[in-house]
Amino acid sequence: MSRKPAGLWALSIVIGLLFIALFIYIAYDIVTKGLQNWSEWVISAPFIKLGRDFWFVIAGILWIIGTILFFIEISGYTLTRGFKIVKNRVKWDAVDVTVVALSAAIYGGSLAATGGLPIIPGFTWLRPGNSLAPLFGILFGVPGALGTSIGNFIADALTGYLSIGSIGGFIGNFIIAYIPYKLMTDHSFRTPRSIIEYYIWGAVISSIYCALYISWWLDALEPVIGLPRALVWGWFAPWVIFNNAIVTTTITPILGYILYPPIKMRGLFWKDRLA
Amino acid sequence: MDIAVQAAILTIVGLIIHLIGVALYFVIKQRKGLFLALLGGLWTFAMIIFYIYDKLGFYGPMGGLQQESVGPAITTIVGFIILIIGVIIAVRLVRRGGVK
Repeated sequence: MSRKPAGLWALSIVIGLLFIALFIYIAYDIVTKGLQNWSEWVISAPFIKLGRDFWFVIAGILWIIGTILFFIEISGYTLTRGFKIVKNRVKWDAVDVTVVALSAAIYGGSLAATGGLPIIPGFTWLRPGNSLAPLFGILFGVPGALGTSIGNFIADALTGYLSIGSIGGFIGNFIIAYIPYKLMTDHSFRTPRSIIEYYIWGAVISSIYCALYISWWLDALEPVIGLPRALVWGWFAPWVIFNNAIVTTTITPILGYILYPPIKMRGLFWKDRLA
Repeated sequence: MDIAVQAAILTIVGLIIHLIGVALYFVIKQRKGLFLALLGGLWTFAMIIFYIYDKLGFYGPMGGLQQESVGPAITTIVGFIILIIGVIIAVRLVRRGGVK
C-alpha cells in the first residue's frame, strides 16, 4: 500500500471514529440528563437557541426541495448533478418491484420488532432498524428508498404511531435512503472515499434532513396532529437525528461492507440494473 | 383532528394509489403501474393492521402501544414474521440474480 492511500485510509477511519464518538457522547449526555430533561440535552441546544421560527424557515425550504425530489423520482425522472431533470433509467421490472417489497418487509419488520419501546408516546420509539434505511438506498437505489418509505409506514401502523404525521415520515424515510444513494460517488464501503462520503451523506446529513423534514410537517400540521411546537423542535427533531445517527454511524457501515459484494455479484446493485 | 378521520384519509390515499397503479398496469400497460399498485397495496395493508389493532384495543390513549395489553408482544412477533418474510424474499432474489 502506497503512502497516499494509507494516509487516506487513516483520514477516513478518523472521520468515522469522530462521528461515532460524537453520537456516543450525545447518547451519554441524554442518558445522564434523563429522557424527560430534553431541554438540557446537548443535541437540543441548537434548536432551542435558534428558536422555532428559524428552524421552521430552514426546514420549510428543505421540505419543499425534498418533496419535489420525491415526486420527480416516483414519476420516473431524476435530477442530475448539473441540476437537469432527466428520465430515470430504473427498469421497474419484476426485480425492482421485488426489491421494493423486500426493503419494505425487512425495514418495517425490523422497526416493528422493537416497537414496544416508546420514547415519545404517539410519535417515536427506539429504532435500531434505522440502520437499514441508508443501506437500502445505497445498494438498491430508488426502489430501495421507496421500500424504506413504505416499511416505515407499516411500522407506524404496527406500533401505534400512524397518523397524518406518517406522511411526513413516509417521505422523510425516503430521504434517508435517497441522499446517500444520490450523493455518494463510491457506494462500495471499500475505499477511504466511500467511507468518508458515507459518514457525511449517509450517516449525518440524511439523519438531519429527515428530522427537519418530518419536524416541519408536524409543526405545519400542529392543529391536526397535536404535537406541541416546542416539543417538535426541542425534543422530536434532536431525538430523530440522534435515533438515526447512533445506528447509521455504527451498524450501517459494517452491514454495507458485508452486503455490498453479494449484492454486486448477483447483479442487484442499482448501477448495474439501469436500463 | 380525530384519529379515525386521519385514518380514513390515509385509507383513501392508499386505495387511490393502488387503483391508479392497477389502471396504469392493466389499461395503459405501463410497468410503473405494478410498482404503484404494490405501493398502494402495502399502504392499504398498513391501514388494515391499523383497524385490526384499533379494534383489539392495542393502541394507547396517547398513541403508541397500550403497554398493559398484549399489543407490544404481538407487535414484536408480527414484526419478526414480516422481517423473516423480507429475508426469504431477499434470499430468493439473490439466488435468482438481478442482471439479465
